[in-house]
Amino acid sequence: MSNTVDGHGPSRSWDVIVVGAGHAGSEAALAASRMGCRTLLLTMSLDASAQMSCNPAIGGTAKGHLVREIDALGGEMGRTTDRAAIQVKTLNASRGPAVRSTRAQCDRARDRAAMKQTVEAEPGLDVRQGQAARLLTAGGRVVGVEDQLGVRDEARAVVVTAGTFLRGLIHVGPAQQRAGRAGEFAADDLSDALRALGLRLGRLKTGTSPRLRRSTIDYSALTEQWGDAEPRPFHWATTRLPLPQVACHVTYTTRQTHAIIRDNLDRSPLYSGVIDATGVRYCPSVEDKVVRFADRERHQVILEPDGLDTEEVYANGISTCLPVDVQERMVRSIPGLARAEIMRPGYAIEYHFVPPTQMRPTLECRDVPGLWLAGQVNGTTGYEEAAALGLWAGINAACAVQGRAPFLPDRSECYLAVLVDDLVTRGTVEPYRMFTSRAEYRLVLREDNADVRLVAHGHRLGLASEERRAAVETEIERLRARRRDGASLFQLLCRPETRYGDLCAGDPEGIDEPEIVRQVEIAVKYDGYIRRMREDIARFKASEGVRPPDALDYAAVPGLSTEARQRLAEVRPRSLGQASRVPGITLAALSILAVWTRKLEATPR
Amino acid sequence: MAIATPPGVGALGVVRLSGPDAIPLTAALVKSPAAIDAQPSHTARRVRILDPGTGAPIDDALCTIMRAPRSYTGDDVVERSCHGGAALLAMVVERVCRAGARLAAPGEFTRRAFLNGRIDLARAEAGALLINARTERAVSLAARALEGELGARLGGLREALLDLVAGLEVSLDFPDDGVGVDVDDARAHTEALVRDVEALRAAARRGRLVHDGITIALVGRPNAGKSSLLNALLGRARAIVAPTPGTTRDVVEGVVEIAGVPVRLLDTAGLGTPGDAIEAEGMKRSQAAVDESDLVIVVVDGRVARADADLERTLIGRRALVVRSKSDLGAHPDAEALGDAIAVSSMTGAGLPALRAAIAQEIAAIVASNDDEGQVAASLRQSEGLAKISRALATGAGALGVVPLEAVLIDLREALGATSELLGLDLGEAVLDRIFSTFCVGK
Repeated sequence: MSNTVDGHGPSRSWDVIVVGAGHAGSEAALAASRMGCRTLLLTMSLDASAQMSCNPAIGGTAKGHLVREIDALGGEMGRTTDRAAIQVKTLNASRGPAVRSTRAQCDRARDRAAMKQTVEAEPGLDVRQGQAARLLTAGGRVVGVEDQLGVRDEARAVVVTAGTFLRGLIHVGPAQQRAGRAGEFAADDLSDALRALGLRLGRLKTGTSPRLRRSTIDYSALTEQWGDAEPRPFHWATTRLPLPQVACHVTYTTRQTHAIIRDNLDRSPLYSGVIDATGVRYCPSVEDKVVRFADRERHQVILEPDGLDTEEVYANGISTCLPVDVQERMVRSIPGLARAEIMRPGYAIEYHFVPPTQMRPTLECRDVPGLWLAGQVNGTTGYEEAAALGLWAGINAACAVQGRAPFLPDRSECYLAVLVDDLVTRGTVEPYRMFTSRAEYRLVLREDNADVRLVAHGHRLGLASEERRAAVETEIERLRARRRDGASLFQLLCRPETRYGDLCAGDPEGIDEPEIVRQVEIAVKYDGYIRRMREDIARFKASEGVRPPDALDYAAVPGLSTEARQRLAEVRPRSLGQASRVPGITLAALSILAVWTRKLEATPR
Repeated sequence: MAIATPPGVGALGVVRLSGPDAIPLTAALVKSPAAIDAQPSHTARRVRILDPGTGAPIDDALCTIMRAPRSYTGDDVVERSCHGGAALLAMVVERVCRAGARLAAPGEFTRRAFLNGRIDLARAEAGALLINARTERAVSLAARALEGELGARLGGLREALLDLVAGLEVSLDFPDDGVGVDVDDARAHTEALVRDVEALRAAARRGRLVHDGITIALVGRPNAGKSSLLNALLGRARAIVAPTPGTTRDVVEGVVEIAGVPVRLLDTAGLGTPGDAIEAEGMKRSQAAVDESDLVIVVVDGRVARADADLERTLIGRRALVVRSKSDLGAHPDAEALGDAIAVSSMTGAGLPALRAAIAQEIAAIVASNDDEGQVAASLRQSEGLAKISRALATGAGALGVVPLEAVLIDLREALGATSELLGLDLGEAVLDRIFSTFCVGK
């Protein structure tokens, strides 16, 4: 193909190009190159690799689960988080193991530096600063990228992880600025390039809180919050967190704060109608909180140190796009912040995303082969969701290039699969965040068994935890066989009050390793429910295994309602199971599809 | 296409045709002053039905057109009300088939209506219940079902479950926000919901009884007067009555309506020592009839009454009424020992009103209420769904506080899912929606 038009010399050729080096892009690029693909990571700014845009924290309920799964599959997020963690907590510690998750407050600069270092040091991965402006196509396939300077690169797979940068527009009060993040260019050309390929775009918004100067905060009357005394790292090989741990502080908005906000709502672009995009209800702006929950007297604000070497403090809980003068007054009405200076104002950002029902489960665009989309551009919110999607797309792009079977675990195996399946099957109209309640099999999808679950896939992709899983299974079998007081040790452990530690005290064959002890305890306590879950999963897998033919013309299937036809044609489910999850598909439509699929299978061609 | 009216002869017979070609197809078979292709929807026009081959007239009929999507099935529907002669209708149907239509399978119009989203499953089932109702009372229950009565009660249950599940889930996914329902409150709520569902199940059971009716077996010694009583209750001669004991060898049935409920009366062969193999078989069938009945009427010959151990054994644990028959022939002095037996004469009719009243009282007890608010018409599918919901909720209530919350939520979500399925509603993001509209969470 012609490549001398702009005089940058012949275009270079790659296996995989990743556009965007945020959380999604970094994971995608690392995965592809570690799987043996010649990979180029193209980023607008080499200084902003995996930059956290708002709250400098990784993990939390369900998000911590994603991070451990990423870690189990050889992704980076767990390791970089450990290297930058300055406060780590286990959430839901007193509840059942399925909902326990880890959250780490991070030093923002060190987190970014850690990822930058890893990405740049990765053999087989080239990194270059450049702004992707055009997507090159041939025969209906995406075959490369051209940047704003006219430099062209060809590839067999292009993964776009543009985050919030597609026609990104920042709002602070009346001011608007085209940007993908404060201080960074928007990706307007890339947005147009995607549209030109025939992809439908939607518009979403999110926001961030102001950052305050530490020395202007009066901490004396505020409650301190420390992390766990013995924090659990994310990465399996981390033995010790390298950074000193710090405290966060808690304060609250006051009636006066709310009054200031209410009096100035018309100056907030969120409420003046200027922003016409759907926001993240899981991260409500402080304007939202005050309006929707008007009778609440106060809302929590957590002051989080942005890093060890910086004066910046992130004021978590007052995400806003009010004008700067209002932000200042609002902040100063909060206890402890009477003299606080704002170093970076809060802002709202609206951006384009690509509705994910246009993607196959591998995250390749169904109608634009050769193009993968991953991260916030799929319509998600959160660094962990983005990293998960980037990893998934990177692995699958590599598999496609290498002619390997795609990486497609199902909903019963990992939160990653729940995330992807929800997006490509149900789509999303607002920024999607992962919750444990989204996973119907959450009892078996725990942080502590992430590597055990993903072992088979990890093997195929070059990771091994077979020894760990084998050790746990062996111990459970041993407990079933041993008896004490007329009941097997296994049965004894099923009574909620019994702890494995008590049972095996003095038992010479008891296992010491705390990790194994924990696994065994969990398995036996949940035994009855887990058994039910496994029956459900077996049924689920059966329906996932029934595949309608790829070229099925839904218009030709008799008896389907118009609505069912439209939705099925849009999503093109790969299985009856997936079809059942498409919104608006009734049991009746499903049974028609089942009968039709069987009929087509029986008909010789 | 199908004949929508019942088989047989009548003043009218309706032939119904549904499908995208219904109107052009009909146009080829009829003649009318204005072309029916242009006939406005939901109007009736007089047409002459012609034989397409010879052009000879077959009938003078009324043609009603209902255009998609506002028709029963959602496709174009044409109904021709012809004269109700059997041969005539057969001819009409045959001509329509030759023109390209296909005879509908049983229930196919309703199926199409359901698939096209014109009616939901519950209404389709209610329609079937209405068609099969045999008494006025069953009709009124089914009509309430058609109005969506069960759906309304289930809707309330679903809302309550959404609040409960949301209140518990929020504490798991937002542990820092300090919101959510506490476990003791949750248990109390769940137990209350179990009671609500059980009340609904009981109402559905009673509704089924009203719809399906109850069975009464008449038992007693040979020649005690059972067959005569059956005939008297039915108001016509049905069983064979003869003076020789042992005449009824089979179980003879009749259906009568009492207190708005269809009552199936089973006349059995007299219990006792069988004289031959045929009698033995008859007695075996009689025992089976007793086993399946909701009420047993013991018929004792008023002249020869004595305490009967065999009979008493049959009645252990069963609802029973005792009748002293042949009261016109006098009563044995010991007959008084039978306590609250009802004296009846099938010949003269004496005592029959008292017997019917006593049966009505028993029916009321079985159906548990004579007030229709106490019953609801539910299909088998709905009854099974309710049972599933009740089980899941009861397990959940017991597990709250004992087992980790995320495990209990499996039971509660099962109940929520079953409720939504009965209502034909997708759950989708309903729980998350409920969380975010109720609680201020998230940063």
